[in-house]
Amino acid sequence: MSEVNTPGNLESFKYDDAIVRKFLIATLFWAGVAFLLGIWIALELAFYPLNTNLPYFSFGRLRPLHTNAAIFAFAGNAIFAGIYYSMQRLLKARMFSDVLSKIHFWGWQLIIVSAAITLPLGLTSGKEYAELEWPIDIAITLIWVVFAWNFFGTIIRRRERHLYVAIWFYIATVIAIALLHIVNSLAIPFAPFKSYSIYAGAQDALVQWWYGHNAVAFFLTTPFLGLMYYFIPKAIGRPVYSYKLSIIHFWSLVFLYIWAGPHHLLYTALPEWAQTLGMIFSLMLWAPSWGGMINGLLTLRGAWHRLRTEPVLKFLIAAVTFYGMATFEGPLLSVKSVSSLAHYTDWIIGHVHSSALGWNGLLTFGMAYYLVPKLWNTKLYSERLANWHFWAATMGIMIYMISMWSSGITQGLMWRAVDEAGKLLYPDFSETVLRIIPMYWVRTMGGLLFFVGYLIGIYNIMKTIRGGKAPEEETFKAPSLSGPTEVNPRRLHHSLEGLPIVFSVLTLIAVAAGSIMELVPTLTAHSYVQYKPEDRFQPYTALELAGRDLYVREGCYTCHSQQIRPLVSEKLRYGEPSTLEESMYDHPFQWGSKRTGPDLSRVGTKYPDLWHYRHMLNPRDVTPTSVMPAYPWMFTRKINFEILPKKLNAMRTLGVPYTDEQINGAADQARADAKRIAAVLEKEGAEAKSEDKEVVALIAYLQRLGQKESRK
Amino acid sequence: MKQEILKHFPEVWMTLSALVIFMGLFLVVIFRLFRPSAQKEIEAASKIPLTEGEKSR
Ligand code: HEC
Repeated sequence: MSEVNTPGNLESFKYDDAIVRKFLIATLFWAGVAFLLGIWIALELAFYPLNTNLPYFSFGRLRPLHTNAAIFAFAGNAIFAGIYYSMQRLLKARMFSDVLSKIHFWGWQLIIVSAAITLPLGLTSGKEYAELEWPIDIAITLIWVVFAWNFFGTIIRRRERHLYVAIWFYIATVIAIALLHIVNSLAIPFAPFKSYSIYAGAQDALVQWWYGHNAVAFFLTTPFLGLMYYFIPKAIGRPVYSYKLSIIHFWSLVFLYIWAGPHHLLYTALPEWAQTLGMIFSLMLWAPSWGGMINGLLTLRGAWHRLRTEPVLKFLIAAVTFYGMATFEGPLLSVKSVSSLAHYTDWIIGHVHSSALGWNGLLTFGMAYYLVPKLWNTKLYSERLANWHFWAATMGIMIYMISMWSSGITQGLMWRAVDEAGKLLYPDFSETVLRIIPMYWVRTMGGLLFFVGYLIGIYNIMKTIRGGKAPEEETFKAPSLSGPTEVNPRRLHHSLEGLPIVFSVLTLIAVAAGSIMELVPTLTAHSYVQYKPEDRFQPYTALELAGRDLYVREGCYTCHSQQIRPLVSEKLRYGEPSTLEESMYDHPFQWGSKRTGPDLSRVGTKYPDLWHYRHMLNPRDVTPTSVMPAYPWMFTRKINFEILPKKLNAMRTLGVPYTDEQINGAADQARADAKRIAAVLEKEGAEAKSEDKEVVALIAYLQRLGQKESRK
Repeated sequence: MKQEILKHFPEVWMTLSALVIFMGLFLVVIFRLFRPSAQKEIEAASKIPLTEGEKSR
């Protein structure tokens, strides 16, 4: 294709840096929000009274806000800032449309604000990292389309024939996130801000972790790798160590990542072949991830001394090192025997923070220190302060990681410890929590240190911005691609527009095909469940369903799992391993991923109603050392009986076998059931008049867990 | 239970064909990457970040 070198007309153009400044400032702002929320909920775990008695500050509601803020607000805006800056320069073209850029920016901030309002209000779909309810989900889809339109429009108008590898990583992000978000968010709404996932039980689990894992892959890894492949060469002033390696890195990730999701579901009721597949592909990810890390690091070969003097490089190189660490730990945690110890413990929390703070966080700050002086046409206010920021952040992350390793492994070992007689050594769950509370304080210190670093950074950056001024847009010149027409203009033009499309389609196929092969067999497993009538579970009664929705609303799944693994110690502690049938009507599934409290899948009938009543009002009343938040508002708020027919109807649409009678009589039936439960509670000493209070519905649900039928 | 479920997944061909397709595609990519004729292009591509277009003043 030598004709491509023929210079076209020299064209003038300007880069849109205003949009980059906007996204960058949003990044730094939301970073603070996400970090503060993190510190707050870390403190809540160490010191339960901070949950207050207000629903909006309760751990179960704030943790989803923290994770959403960290992923979509902080990392999201960082990605957009970096992509808008680098893609214009890599393609030698202004963004396709300034208007689309602005819609993208403001739309995204609006989505974040609506998340910040709805999540504390308890409006949640109950699916981890995808908690936002359906109207916001639709908004995300629309804004993503705007972004994609702007993005591909820019690619088509580019003045650089070859798509630099960073752009490939961005393309994978744009395509995969759209696919993941849409498939995982499919739900049937029954109220303005409430819906039920169309998937149930094991299927929902698989779809959810296919999404969850690949959100990590395509939202927190590929775009940041794109940024790495741009900003590291840029900051050092030389090309990446091996461009070939970067291409291999790209294709291996695209081909492998999509299969690894089930490693979040090892030892669950998910079919074992899917688990094994997830584990093997996770192990294979080791190679390309480390290839990528080495590629980033070696770009600095022969210039290591610059690490001492240039804060930008410090941040970028440390970020890549954390990428290497996290991608070493990830496959390790996917090995079934390691997972059996680490899953549900703080080890996983440590893992995600070494990636989110170390890899995403440090890379973002490195990028910010690089960009701010450029975008405001000045010099960094203080390199010294940037160094302080760096060391505070790095030490903070280390403290965080180490405390979580130690608490995770300690608790994991305590859970599984069995004495010679074959009995649990620590049958009291609270004992295992109490043991790790000191580590929760240490973790909070780590987080605080990171936050102090952040504050120093913000001060430094604000000073820098004050001292500079956003420059006028400069004019650049580059030859157009569709240039002079003597050499077969049609073909040339065609191949230019065609390349990114072919490329995008290939990426889409790789991602989609992997997804289909992984998802379809389990999605069709429903038919199997019907083969064993004796194992089937009755659908929830209307009251139980109301209680289940409260369980979702309060985010109990952030502390409690509903999935007993087939391990000896779990059987001793919780009972028989969970089966597929148990959650076959659970839209959404609530298997959970963290056990700050014990597993609840067989808690039904374990305690009398009054125990739960007192426990929900004040957990310390029945378990003196408990760190669980109290839920006093459930004792004053009333059950919404009127909406129950709608809920049952939505469930029937999704395949739960409710009869017309059950649906039409849902409200009355639930009232009657609630009355019966309340009457017994009252007799045993509970407060009078609780027959229409939320807590009664919750108790009905808790007592049903693990039971094939409702209590008569 | 595992056997029960596996009974309903005779679609091993699916997994196998996926493997073949993906390995094939991957090998094609690697092969193209190491063609001698690709080297100049790769060299040029790796330098893209270092140019931003000429400033005109
Ligand atoms: C901050 C984490 C946390 C949250 C959020 C949380 N719990 Fe707990 N939960 C615990 C801990 C820790 C225990 C063990 C100590 C105790 O019994 O209180 C526990 C115990 C329980 C038990 C007793 C289990 C047993 O087998 O003894 C039940 C039932 C329970 N929680 C229900 C809930 C419900 C329902 C919600 C949501 C409304 C919820 N929890 C939210 C931490 C939490």
